[in-house]
Amino acid sequence: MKLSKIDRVIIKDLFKATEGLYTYTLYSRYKISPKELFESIKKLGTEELLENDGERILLTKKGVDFAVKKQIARKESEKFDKIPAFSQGPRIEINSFYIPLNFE
Amino acid sequence: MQKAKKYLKKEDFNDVINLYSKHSWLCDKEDSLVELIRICDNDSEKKLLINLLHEFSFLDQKLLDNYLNLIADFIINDSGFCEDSTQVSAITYDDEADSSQKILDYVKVSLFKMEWSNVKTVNRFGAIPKNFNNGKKQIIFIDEFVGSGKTILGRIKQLENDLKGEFDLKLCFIAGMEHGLKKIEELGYEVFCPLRFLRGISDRFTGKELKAAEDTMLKLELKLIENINSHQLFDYSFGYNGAEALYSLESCSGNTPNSVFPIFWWPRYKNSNARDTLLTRYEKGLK
Repeated sequence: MKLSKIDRVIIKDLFKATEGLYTYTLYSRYKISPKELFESIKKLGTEELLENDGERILLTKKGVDFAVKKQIARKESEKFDKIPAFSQGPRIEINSFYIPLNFE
Repeated sequence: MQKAKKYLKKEDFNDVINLYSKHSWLCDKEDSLVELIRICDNDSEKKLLINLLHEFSFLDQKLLDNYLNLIADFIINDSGFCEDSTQVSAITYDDEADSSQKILDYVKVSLFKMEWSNVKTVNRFGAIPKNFNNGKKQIIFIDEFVGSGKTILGRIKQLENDLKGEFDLKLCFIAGMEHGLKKIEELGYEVFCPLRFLRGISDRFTGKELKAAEDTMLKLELKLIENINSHQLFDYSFGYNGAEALYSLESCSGNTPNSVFPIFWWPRYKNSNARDTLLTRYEKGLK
């Protein structure tokens, strides 16, 4: 399933909210158009990633697993954890000379 | 990610989301819907409009095809008419395009698929007598929608005057208001209409609630300009002839009937500013 930016935002926020969220909370946080929000929630519901208990929406078990697997809920600070060592050298300034990898 | 153009209060947002759950067609009309909510001065106005929208019937192509097949099935299998002696006619009186002709054109294909490949179709009411004189004495009137029934009653009267001799008449519509359809049936003519609606306010509210809903709708209509060229809002108050319809075929390139409450389609506000209306009513000069 291809996720849109809104899908990711919804999953990410629901991952952090153990008791779920009102749809309106997402709307007021991100000012997403109601149509896009509704369609995203419907899509994720069809995929059984989230459920609506009448008032709030919350991630299902499948949704939680999905968020972990796709690393959607990863914190900003963790984003750079998987950068390989060879890419973590000193910053190269603009227009400065450098030796490309595997030059030989 | 599209940002909301106009920020909604929590109650309004929840109303919009609930409407989307029931009517996905409204998703494509978000700006018009939000504008409609925003013209409401109080909760009772908003509540009434949301209530009416929940009751709305907005046909898509699949549903329309289904109803066309039902009409064709009625004509062939239940009307008792024979292909050789039947004329299926639109009720179009003048030379302006109208939805009666459109439905006739659609129905002819359904009839063809169901074995009536040679039935006489008539795209103008005025041509019925000529076909009658050629032996087509079993007549089917076809139209998209019946509001108050006034137009159809006029055509029936005209037909009774125009035809010299006995004829059989049956009428087929995609949709119609129950009170309008009953007026036709009371004349003794059989009507086939798969979608029958109650009036949006008069038949759905009673007592104090009815009075309050009528007053609220009148207040909403006061926000609209009274005259546009030769068209007077008064004539369309609560829908033409007070039909109170909640129906449209716009998703199949249809024209919203003038029987629908004008708050959903009247194109200008009191100050003459153009509205972004939820529905579009084509009416000559109404812009």
